[in-house]
Amino acid sequence: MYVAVKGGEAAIENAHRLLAADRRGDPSVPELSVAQIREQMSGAVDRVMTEGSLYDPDLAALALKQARGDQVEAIFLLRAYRTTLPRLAVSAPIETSRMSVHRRISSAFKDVPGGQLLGPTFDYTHRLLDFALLAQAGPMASPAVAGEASRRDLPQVMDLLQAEGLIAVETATKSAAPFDLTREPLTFPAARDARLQNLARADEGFLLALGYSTQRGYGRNHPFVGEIRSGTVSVEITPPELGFAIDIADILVTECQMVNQFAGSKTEKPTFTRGYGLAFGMAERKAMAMALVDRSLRAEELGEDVTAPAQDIEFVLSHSDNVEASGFVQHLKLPHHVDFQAELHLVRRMRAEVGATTAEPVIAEAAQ
Amino acid sequence: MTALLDGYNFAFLDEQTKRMIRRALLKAVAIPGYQVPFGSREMPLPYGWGTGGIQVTAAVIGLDDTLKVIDQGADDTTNAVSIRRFFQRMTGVRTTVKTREATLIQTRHRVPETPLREGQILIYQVPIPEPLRWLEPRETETRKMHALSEYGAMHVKLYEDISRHGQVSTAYDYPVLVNGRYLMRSSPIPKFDTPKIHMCAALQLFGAGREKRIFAVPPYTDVRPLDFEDHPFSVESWPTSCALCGSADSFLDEIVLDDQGGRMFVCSDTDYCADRRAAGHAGPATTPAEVTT
Amino acid sequence: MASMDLAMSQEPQPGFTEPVAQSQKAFRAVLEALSRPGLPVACAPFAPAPHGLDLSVAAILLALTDLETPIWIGPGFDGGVSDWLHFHTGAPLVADAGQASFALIQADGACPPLDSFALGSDEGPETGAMLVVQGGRLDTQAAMTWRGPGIRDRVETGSFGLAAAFWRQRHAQEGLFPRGLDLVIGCGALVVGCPRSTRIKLSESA
Repeated sequence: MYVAVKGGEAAIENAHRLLAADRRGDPSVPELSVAQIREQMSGAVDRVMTEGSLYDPDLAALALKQARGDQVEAIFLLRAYRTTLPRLAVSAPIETSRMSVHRRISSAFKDVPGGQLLGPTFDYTHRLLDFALLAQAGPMASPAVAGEASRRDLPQVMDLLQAEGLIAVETATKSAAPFDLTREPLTFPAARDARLQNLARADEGFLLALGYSTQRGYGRNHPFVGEIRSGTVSVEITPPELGFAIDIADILVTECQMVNQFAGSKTEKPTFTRGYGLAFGMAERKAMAMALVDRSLRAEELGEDVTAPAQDIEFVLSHSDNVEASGFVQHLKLPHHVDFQAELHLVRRMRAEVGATTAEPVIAEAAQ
Repeated sequence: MTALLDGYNFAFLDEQTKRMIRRALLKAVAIPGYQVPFGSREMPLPYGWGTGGIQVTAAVIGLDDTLKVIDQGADDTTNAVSIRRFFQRMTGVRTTVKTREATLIQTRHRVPETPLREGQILIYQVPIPEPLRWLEPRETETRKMHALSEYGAMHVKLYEDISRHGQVSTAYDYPVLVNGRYLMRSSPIPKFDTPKIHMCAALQLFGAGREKRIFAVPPYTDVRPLDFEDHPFSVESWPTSCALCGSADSFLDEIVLDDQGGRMFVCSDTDYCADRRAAGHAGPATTPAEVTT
Repeated sequence: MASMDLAMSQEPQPGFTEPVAQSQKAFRAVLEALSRPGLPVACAPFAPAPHGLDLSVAAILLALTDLETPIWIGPGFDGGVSDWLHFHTGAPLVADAGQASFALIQADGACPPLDSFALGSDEGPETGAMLVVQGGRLDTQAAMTWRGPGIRDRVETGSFGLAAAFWRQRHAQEGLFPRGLDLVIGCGALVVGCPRSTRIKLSESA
């Protein structure tokens, strides 16, 4: 005898308890602290802050702990928290040319004023599992150049090109306030301020794949890494009652400026153009992918043919957000039996009508 | 009884966000069937799981309301339970499973069988609000098509269905024309429910959170399914009646009983079915003893 | 009396005492009014209303306007209205009616031509303004027949204290749909909605 499914609430509560137990794992293994995650899983924390649109390493670490390391779930947790926060002030744009630099490289020039600064990077590590890390609490070799590891006021490589007039000058948008897609719905055509905000929050994997596709000929735009820099910048606000800027925080960011060829047109000389990427933390894969996609989305405004997915503004911006994408893909787990019943009904009726005229093939198919 | 959650505003959303959604709702009511863009927020439930409906409910709900939440017609499906619990924790309002008692009904995929009355508000969770989306994926294009009432492509699509299959092969989410002006997706509800939108006494609000659109059908509004004179719109009917309550005119869920082809059909609307059983109606699968319990 | 002191002082008069609940009530009244054109709906979540405003009008403005809604105030209002509204909602006052998302007029006062308000565009009709009418009257003399969404068959209404010329302009805008103005008419503690979708026929005598 069929009984309609009941007790949804009890089932949900039990699922929550199972999830909590799953997250904790073997209780004989010490529990992770949020501080441990913040300090020792900084790559994960940085991604959660960037795509979660909230610079708060503690909360990002908490989200990772609560999501048992599931990044997209942690990003969602942080976003859902962020949306409840009041907006107390609007900061001035951060000044990355005044960054206290931890890492700074250019691949466009052999050397640049201020020098190449390798900093903490996976580059040139051999990806060999380090079994020494299996044993805990080993002694750590301190960095050789700790004192010099950060520098201030390194000139931007892009400024050198700009001084020579070789790269298109970027000017601030004329409108007073930049578009804010956390408050207004994205509409198309989307200007660059809206695009950059969308890309900054975009799923790293999605941007990585799109950026990669441009390198393989789907909207090629000849990129060079003009400069990647990671380091701390200060965030300033100007309270109206003070009338001058005050420093409210230092945040770690990674910026990537790609230099791309532009063939020029009848009216414009050949020049270089810029693709821009910015992410919280040490996140240069994200910043680079963002810069590639930013540049490819400029195809239309630069008069280039729009032929590839990475050049299609509406396609890219509509599908870049992993909180949206993850929700909608996973909503297929929700019951759809009413719609499916309607569909079953239709397919059976259509099959019956086909069967009435051509009986044999339908029977043959039904027997399979 | 679920305790009210401290530290959050009534109905979760801050007042500024509620005002923004409320203004969008008023425009949606004033322009029936038109999709109003709104600054949809991240909610603590995932996009695609009813965030549009939840935001609309959160903007509309007050302490005098009685809320009912259904998914697939049932109050006890897991997501309906989850959303109802969310509003219990965030508002403390009264909830019910009774269609007649509710002032607000948030739904996914169904319109209740019990006719709605004036003063009630039915809030639909909408995944994809754009009826032209499968014909034209670009928002920039579909906005123009709506502006110009350029709906020929949809007629062509339906006509192609008829020439290929002998009928329109759309079983749910059937396209409707609202107030003779805007083409609208019917949320997705099954075709069976489409006629209930027309001249409904209740206000119908539609929220698509991920797609950031709100639209509405005011009470007593003309809502017609697109069809052709020689192929009029028709709805599903079943060769059997509900196994539990014997209803012959409600939408039935098909329950697979075994792997031998055994099946039974029961009302998708659990409240309607329970009401009928309470009134003494019984279906073939119900013994009189069960009816009285 | 306390009310005298209030009127004399520079302090803005009070707004909602329970903003969350009172905003919700006022919004629901407007939602109902625009959903059922012509039907007077109770809308008095707080009292007393300041600066000679109808209870309904004061509540609607407090509930729906904020920093993001430029407001235009027509002639004939107490000078304190704009300060009161700005204090409680932050809504920026604009001099150009066409820039406002909410406009406030007196039922028996002067009103600029209706096409000087924002009517929205065919692709974005939601930017059409909401016109809030202060001092409307529920007169019994039938002046119009309304039809359209939210109206079961038709509804006979009076003129709500607005001039026949106003309604003739409103009628003329029907051809612009989906562009248009949404009217919310405050009548004391009641509100009547007339969304742009409502089709108006004026009686011969009007």
